[in-house]
Amino acid sequence: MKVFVNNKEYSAEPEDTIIELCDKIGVHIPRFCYHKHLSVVASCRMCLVDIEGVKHSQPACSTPLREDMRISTKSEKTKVAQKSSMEFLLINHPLDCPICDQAGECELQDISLEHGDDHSRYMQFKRVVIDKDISPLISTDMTRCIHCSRCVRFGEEISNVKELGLLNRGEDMKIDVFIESSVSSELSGNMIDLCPVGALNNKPYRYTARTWDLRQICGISPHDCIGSNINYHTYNNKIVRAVPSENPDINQTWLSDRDRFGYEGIYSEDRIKKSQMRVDGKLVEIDFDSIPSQVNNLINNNIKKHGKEKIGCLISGQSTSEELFMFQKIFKGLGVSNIDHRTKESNFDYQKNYPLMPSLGCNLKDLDEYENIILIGVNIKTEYPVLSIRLNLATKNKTRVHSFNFKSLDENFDLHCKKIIDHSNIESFLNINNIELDQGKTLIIIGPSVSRSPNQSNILKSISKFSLLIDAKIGFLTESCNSTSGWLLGNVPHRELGGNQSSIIGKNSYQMITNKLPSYILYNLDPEFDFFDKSLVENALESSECNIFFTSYITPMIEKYAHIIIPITTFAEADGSYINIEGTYQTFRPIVQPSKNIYEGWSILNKILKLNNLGDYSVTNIRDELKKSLEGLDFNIPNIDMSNINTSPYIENKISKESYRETNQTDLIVRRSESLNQATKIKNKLSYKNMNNEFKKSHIDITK
Amino acid sequence: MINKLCTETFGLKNPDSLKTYMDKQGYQAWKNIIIEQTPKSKIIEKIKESGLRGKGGAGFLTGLKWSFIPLLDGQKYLVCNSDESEPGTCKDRDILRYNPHSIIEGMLIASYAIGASVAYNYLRGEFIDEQWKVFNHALSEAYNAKLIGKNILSSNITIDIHALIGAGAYIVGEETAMLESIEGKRGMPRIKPPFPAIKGLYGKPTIINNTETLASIPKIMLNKPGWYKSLGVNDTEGMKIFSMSGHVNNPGNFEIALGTPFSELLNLAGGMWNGKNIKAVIPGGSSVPVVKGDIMMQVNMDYDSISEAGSMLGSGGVIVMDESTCMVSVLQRISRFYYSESCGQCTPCREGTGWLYKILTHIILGKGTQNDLHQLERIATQIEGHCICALGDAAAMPVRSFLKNFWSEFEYYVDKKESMVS
Amino acid sequence: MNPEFIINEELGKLISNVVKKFPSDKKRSAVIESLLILQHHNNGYVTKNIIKALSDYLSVSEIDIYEVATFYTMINIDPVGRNVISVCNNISCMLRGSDEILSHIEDKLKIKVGESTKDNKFYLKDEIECLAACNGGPMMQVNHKNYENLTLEKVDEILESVNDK
Ligand SMILES: Cc1cc2nc3c(=O)[nH]c(=O)nc-3n(C[C@H](O)[C@H](O)[C@H](O)COP(=O)(O)O)c2cc1C
Ligand code: SF4
Ligand code: FES
Repeated sequence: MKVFVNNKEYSAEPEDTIIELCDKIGVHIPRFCYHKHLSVVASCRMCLVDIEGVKHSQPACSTPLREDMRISTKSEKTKVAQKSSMEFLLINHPLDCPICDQAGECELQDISLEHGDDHSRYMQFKRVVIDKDISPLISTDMTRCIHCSRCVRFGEEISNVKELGLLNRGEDMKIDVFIESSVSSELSGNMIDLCPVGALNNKPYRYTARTWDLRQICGISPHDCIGSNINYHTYNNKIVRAVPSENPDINQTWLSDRDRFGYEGIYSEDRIKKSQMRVDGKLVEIDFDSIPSQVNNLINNNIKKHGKEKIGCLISGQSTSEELFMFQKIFKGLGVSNIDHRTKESNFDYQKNYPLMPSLGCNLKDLDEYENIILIGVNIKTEYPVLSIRLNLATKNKTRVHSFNFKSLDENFDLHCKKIIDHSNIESFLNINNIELDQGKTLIIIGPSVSRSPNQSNILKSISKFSLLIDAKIGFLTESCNSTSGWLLGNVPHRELGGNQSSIIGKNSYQMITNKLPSYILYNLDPEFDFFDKSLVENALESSECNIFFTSYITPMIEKYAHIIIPITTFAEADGSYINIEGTYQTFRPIVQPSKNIYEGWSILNKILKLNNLGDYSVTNIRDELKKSLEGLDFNIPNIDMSNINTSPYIENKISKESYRETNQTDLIVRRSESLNQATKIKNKLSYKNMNNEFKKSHIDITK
Repeated sequence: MINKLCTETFGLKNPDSLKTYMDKQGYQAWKNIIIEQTPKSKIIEKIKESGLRGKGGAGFLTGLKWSFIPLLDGQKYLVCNSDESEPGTCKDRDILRYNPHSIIEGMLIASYAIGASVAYNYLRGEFIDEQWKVFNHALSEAYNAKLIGKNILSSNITIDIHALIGAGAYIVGEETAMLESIEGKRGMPRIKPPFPAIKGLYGKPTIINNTETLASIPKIMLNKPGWYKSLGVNDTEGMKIFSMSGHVNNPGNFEIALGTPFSELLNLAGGMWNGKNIKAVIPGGSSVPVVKGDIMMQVNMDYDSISEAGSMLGSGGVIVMDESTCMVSVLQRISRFYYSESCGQCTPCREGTGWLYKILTHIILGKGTQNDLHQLERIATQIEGHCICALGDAAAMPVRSFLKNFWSEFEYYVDKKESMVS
Repeated sequence: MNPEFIINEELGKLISNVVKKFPSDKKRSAVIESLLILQHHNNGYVTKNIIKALSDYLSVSEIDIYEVATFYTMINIDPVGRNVISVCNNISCMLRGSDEILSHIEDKLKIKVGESTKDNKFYLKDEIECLAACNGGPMMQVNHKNYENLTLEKVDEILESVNDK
């Protein structure tokens, strides 16, 4: 189809609207209510454009293209129309840009500079809206609201949790929550991004900096295996804010609140500032210089003294691929096989039959191609909020989602069916008669609650059999953001780098802990929270002779049982990379510089490696080797067969069955984010009575 | 004989009862259709041929509207718009309470013609006492007589009619806002296209007609082709109810031939109140442009003549104002209405209606300036044609026409800080 | 005041009759009429708990119902007097003297529009909508019953005849 924009000819898709075409060809049209991921309401009237032969200017966002349509985005008529919309919007909008957080990135400010009148006819009448405290994450300044309803539509259409509504009508219209409730969904922060003005703002960030003073560096979310792309904004070498970085294949333009506010955890008070060693039963700070050799001596002495099979090496799946690579390089190099990253698990009969690595089995953006998705042991809403957006859209398309969980859990998308499964009779439960499937493709997604189950091998076996019966594909969602690397890079006791079988099979994490070894190395783990059972870990650490902790945080147990503590960087202070659950390898640079006595984890490990003459790496080298071992890997594993798992019988209550992950407790950084902890507290209180002062002084009569 | 379509039972004993209606050949048209199994297309053709125009305000050709409905099978809906809220208009209310069966029969015929098995009559909330009760009673009478419901008169045809009640919102009278309201949402107009005939209630093809439009259907169907057209006088066609209000001796509803001179209509309404002189007339509900009295006296009550006089026939709410009327106050009152009834989604309407009202109030309080008058004009122009629904225009048109026709009176007010007439 | 509101059998019946008018998967359509019913049974206004109860009953989210409740002027979310007086003062009625009627009522009841009397007997609604009785102006509604062609005397009579339940 042929159309003309500003007298230039373009060919266009017949279903497109004017704005869609103009966005494609790079002709700018101002807009407030239009957003490419939201439904079109055409209410702000900022995008009015002049169309030849049409009396009044028409909204570009809702007007479909016609053959031979002649659109002018620059004519006098267009200008006048846009100018008047701007003027109407400014009537009731405070002109307080100097104190508004949005200044510098305010669409209203930008557009009014471009399209508005410089002088104001906005008389003495200004609407004042009283503000309420609706969330610890979002601050409101509703007098600035221009009623574009993007935030409301986000709740209705994207997160499927409608918390903000449009109340009243006409000029009294306002955006608000239901009486005495709050905004607490796992995706609420996106409304901050969607708000084109300064009405919904990032509360923790409030007044910390002006936008033009910020530096922006792109990072990858370390809080789940989706790998959302994030732009971190820093001010004076400190992260002050996080916003989504658009990646159509991964997070689109969205972030979970966990991704957005999790970084606060790196500024937690229990961050370790300097290396420490136990001298005469007491921890004392020491300089870093001697640390690599001290640690190396401890490791080698222990190996000598007790044997290679008596040292337990545990690393978190939250670690970067570089760290995971170096970790196994050292210990496998020293002949140690007791390596594991699966610290939350307790049943490992399955491991031999497990695929090379956990994978979703398809690309994130292709989930909507499945007619049926069966979720087993996972709560997408709280554990993978960004993924819930994809599933929501998929269910609105054609996908039927079934949720099988160990307890009743709600999702923020339509569930075709929800069933509660019992650990002990999983096999009979996963029965073809127990499920009503649509014709077409089926994907079973296995979540972390399965891996945390005391009989996970049983469950995996049953699922595998079931998948063969119903001709379904199997995919995984993992505990940690980089579990995939954990598997692929040999941080398991039975496989080497790249997934080859080991000749000697070491102890898995459960065996390491329950066997009370004489020495342990814990890398990037909170002993209190990152294991299947806190008390077993405590027993193990207590009875061991030597506990080496590589960690960013000090915890009571570390303080009590550590022989040496090596502070390491978090994701934000180091070069790193993660492999997400669809197999995308994403690297990132340090966002801020670590403080004085803290070094990048991989580089400390490298020093130890060097001392053992096992190699010497730079980030580039690591990545080269890493990529080599990933080469040719297909994350789209066609059929996973775990039906031959040799399982031991299920023993009730072997360890605790607490297996669901709280959204803001999933890793050691979010656990320490103050704002997220506040949010959790409020959510658990359910009804949110305004925390601070209920009423805020509002702008009154600007002209006075 | 005076021909009557919607008002035939008015003034009779028990005007709303089924019996009264039946005595006047009520439901005959419907029964004929059932018995003859009249093809749908034939009904639509007949309505098209009659030239019947919608009585809700826009005057769109009813038969043409019906013909937009897709022929495919599937759920379709008919909605009768009894939200009557345009200031100056009070005709549907009388049809609802004095001739409810004509609405029901009209709805049945329309539903049949467009293939809808469910029809809703949406009454404005303020009708909850009298009209709501009367209409519901009429519905149950018709159900009991097997004229509606399943298997109507043993014909295998099923059409259900339900009465719905609003809760106070003028904007719900706009057809797509009404659909939103029926879906249980805020009454906010939708963007068009898609038009309701393609994607309406619950996303299904839907026809929305005004109460008077639907109540006119039975008589048109009962008579020969050409009959309805022939009712008009002075080269026009058809009938219309006009609600006469304001400064007339006998305010009321008058169903008259289109084309009747305004002066005759004024006589029907008993002439000017207290014998004063006529100053101005709003001929089609408060949203249409005002016309000066002397010009109005030359106008015939039909679409073309009124439009030549610079206004619109609209909903037929004729508001007559005598020489004692302060045009500034009247405009302020009209603006207040649109300001408080704007649904609020479109920027120009939400902000502009408020601005208009506030400036006018400013003027009434004696604080206005010449500049404010120009400002009013400018704002009205900025609203016009730039909104989703016609409420924006409805707010703007009176402002422009009042200023145009009575500029000196407004000028006087801002200069002298008081009304020219008081 | 009872903190929880329960939709009892009687109210449930009324609401389910409303629900029946719509397709079975469109229960949300019943929100408006249900709010009117519930408000009628709660001295003329709805509360947070009423909305919550209706939300459960119809499986419609609270905020969706709240949006509706605040959009339509006949639904009150604040307590109001037991008898609602609406004096139309739109253009047709204004031309026939509604302003005088309104200020008479304000003086008589010692309240302004939008307020309720101290004893909560009357609520004088801020009526901006035209009440579609233009040819009977000036007019008012008391508890939604129309009174037309008002004079000051007639108003007095009507108000005095209101029997408080
Ligand atoms: C703001 C606004 C209010 C309206 N109010 C009414 C109304 O109260 N009654 C009505 O019948 N039509 C009203 N309409 C017109 C309807 O949108 C629609 O055109 C009409 O119901 C169609 O019926 P008809 O074709 O039979 O006239 C209104 C339109 C607008 C823009
Ligand atoms: S013009 Fe006014 S009433 Fe109509 S949709 Fe827009 S804001 Fe609502
Ligand atoms: S962007 Fe088109 S009307 Fe808002």
